[in-house]
Amino acid sequence: MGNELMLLFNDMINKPAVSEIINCNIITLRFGLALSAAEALELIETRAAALRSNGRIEFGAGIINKLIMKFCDSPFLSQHNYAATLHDLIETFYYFKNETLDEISDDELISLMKKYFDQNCQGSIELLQNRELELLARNIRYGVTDYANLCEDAEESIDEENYYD
Amino acid sequence: MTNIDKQHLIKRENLNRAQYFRSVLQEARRLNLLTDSEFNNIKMQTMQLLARQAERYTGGDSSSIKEETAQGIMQSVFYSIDVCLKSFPDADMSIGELKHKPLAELYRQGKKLVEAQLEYTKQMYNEIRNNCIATDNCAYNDTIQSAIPAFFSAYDVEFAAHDTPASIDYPLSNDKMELTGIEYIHDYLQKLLLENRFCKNFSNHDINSLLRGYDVHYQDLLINIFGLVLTNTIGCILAEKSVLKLDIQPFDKQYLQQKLVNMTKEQLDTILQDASEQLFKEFKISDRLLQNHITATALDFSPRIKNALGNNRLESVFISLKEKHPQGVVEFEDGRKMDDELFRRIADEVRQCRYTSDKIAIIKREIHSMTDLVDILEGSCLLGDEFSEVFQYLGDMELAWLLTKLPADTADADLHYTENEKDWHARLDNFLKEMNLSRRESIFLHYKNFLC
Repeated sequence: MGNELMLLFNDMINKPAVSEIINCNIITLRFGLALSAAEALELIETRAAALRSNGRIEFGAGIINKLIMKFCDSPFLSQHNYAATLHDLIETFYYFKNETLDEISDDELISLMKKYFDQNCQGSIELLQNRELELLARNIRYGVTDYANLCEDAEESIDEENYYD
Repeated sequence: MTNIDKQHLIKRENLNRAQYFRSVLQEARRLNLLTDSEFNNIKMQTMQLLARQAERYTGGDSSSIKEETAQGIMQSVFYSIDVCLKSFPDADMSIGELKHKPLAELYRQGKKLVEAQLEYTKQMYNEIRNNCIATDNCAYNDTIQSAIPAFFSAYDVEFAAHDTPASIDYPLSNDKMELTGIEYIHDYLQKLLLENRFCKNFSNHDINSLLRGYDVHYQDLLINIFGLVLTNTIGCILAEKSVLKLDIQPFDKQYLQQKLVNMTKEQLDTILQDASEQLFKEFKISDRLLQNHITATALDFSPRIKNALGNNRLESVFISLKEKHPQGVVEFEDGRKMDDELFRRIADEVRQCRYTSDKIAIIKREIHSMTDLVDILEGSCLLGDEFSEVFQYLGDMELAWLLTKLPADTADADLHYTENEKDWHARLDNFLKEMNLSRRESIFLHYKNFLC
């Protein structure tokens, strides 16, 4: 009943309903963004795949709605890239939950993702994944107190080569 | 009148004590004592319980956790449920409880039992700490003084009840290694308490002499003190000596050899059983647990004794006591060790010398402590035959002291020593082999005094 239970878990418990995601449209429409039922279903599938590939199990309501509500006012989202960006954000979120060693909460990670996406990355998901969040994860792993400050000249920034000296 | 035993549907012997909840469910499914819907209901309740525990684990900050973490939490939940189910008189009753009580309720009861057992085990530990055997055996002392307190401070009833965060080196005579968590520590300490209680019938001096008789390096060995004491006590009973003596002399071994050599295994088991019972009377042992522990350990001796009798090597089972200072006391006081900077300078100087005579001259002039000399031997300062020339210049006492640094067990040498250390050990060994017999004997005499 051990591993079998783990496999069943993501399918049986707290599977987000398509209707819950569609309901977000009421708010996102103010920003000209909406998801169809088919797109909502695809997002749920992406979430399940991301959880599996990152070796995680979800117990709460899930983070799709949280990501939608946080990112809907981004100036870099429009209807044509909305769904695709959400897919990328879901994968990125679970990947960096692992990379940050579960040291920061869901809400904090989503807020930081939004901040970097809008400011430092100017809407580029590649920069968000490969530069900003990598730096954030590294700061957290090395125990930097002001880990969210990603400036190059941040006082506490880590020189990995000298870290073990 | 015949006794009527209640017949159980689930047999205790078919259950795995380490995974009790899961094996009860499997047996119940196999015997059709659970319907599909009841089984699925238990499964769903397990998942809900796991989800609730995971939420408590993250403090609500994270909606997801790693699979490994989830598995750990699940094992902890199962462990508490196991403890609860094991507290029922039989497995049939466990199935009844699983059918009719919410799983969360059984988990809560189990957790309370685990907490109660933890408290009881802590009290037992205090008793052990106050009444332990005074010995130099490192594994015994480290386990009692460090490993067990470390377990108590690291044990997590809520999220890792199944875990045993302790590095326990001291072996018991009959250790149930299949248990985990607090159940293992409770079982371990309970047996240790019994073993200590038995050993308290003898003086610490006799026990330490017995350990020394077993091996002069007994301090570093992973040996069960109770096992050795009990073997000799039983040996004394079989040799018709006073049990309080604990000592088995060579002539006692000869007597035992003659007495036991023609016995079959069954006869040997019976005689060991009788000896155990005589022991209970001699020491007035009425505690049923201690009696069972002694009998189980005594019966374990049987194959060892049989084997030793066959090879006429009874001295490997029954040990003669060895006193601490048979040839007087040798107290060694080393010279002053030089500081690191100065040592490095001298070592460099020795390395740069072209002729061995110059190297020996520097060593004679500058090195005034044995510790520094060993550092020179290990510091790549000498090459090839230069070692024997340095050894030549040393006195018997110094060579005997160096001999104490050689590994007692050559099998371990590969693991615990560096190449440089192994090099000078081998060269000293060769040097001594080539030496004349009378000087070698004198060095070994000093060496034995150092060991005592």
